[in-house]
Amino acid sequence: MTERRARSGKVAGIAEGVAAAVRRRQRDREPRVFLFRRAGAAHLVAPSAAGYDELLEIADRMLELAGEPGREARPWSSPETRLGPERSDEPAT
Amino acid sequence: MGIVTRVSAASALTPQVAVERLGEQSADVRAAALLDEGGNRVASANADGADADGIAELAAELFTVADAAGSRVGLDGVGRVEVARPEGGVFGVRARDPAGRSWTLVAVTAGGALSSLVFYDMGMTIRALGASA
Repeated sequence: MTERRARSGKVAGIAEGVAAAVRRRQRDREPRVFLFRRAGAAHLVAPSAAGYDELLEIADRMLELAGEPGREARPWSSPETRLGPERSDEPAT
Repeated sequence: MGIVTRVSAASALTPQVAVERLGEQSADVRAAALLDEGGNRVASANADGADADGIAELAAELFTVADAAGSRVGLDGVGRVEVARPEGGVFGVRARDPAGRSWTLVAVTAGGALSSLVFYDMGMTIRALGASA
């Protein structure tokens, strides 16, 4: 009887661990939106708050424009650089 | 991850050079765009394949919405915005350089970028702009 109780306790412990891991994983996958005052204090925008969906939509469009996440991140270039070396107003650094 | 950069007072960076340097030094940054006080794009740069010009167009919109959202919760004067998704992040910084000019800098990063480092590198980029004044 004691052995059965101990076994069921162990199973419950494993199940809780799995459930916690799933919750953590879901939380990590949820988008987060922060606004910061100029002084530095952060404000987490709740998913139900006004502006959350719009900010997320703009960010998604930006991420889309930035290309595939896994793609090679180099070479780094500017539109001007791609057009050719005609610019002469930039000092050599 | 970002690399700490020392910007001396003698550094002379144009907006375009400053933005390109941000991308070269911050491995997570995939595209960046810089707007002046009037919301005009003055520089943009990107990793191969990214549409930095399109991102620049959205940068002003990002802060317009952020300001509206911030004011609803008593957060007047949003200086920074961060939207984090597992596949990537969007960071926006609005600040003045040492010469007093106001800039909006937006960067799109890979997923998992450390926000403190990205914001630090972006802040240093804006500081470097003032050094060239």
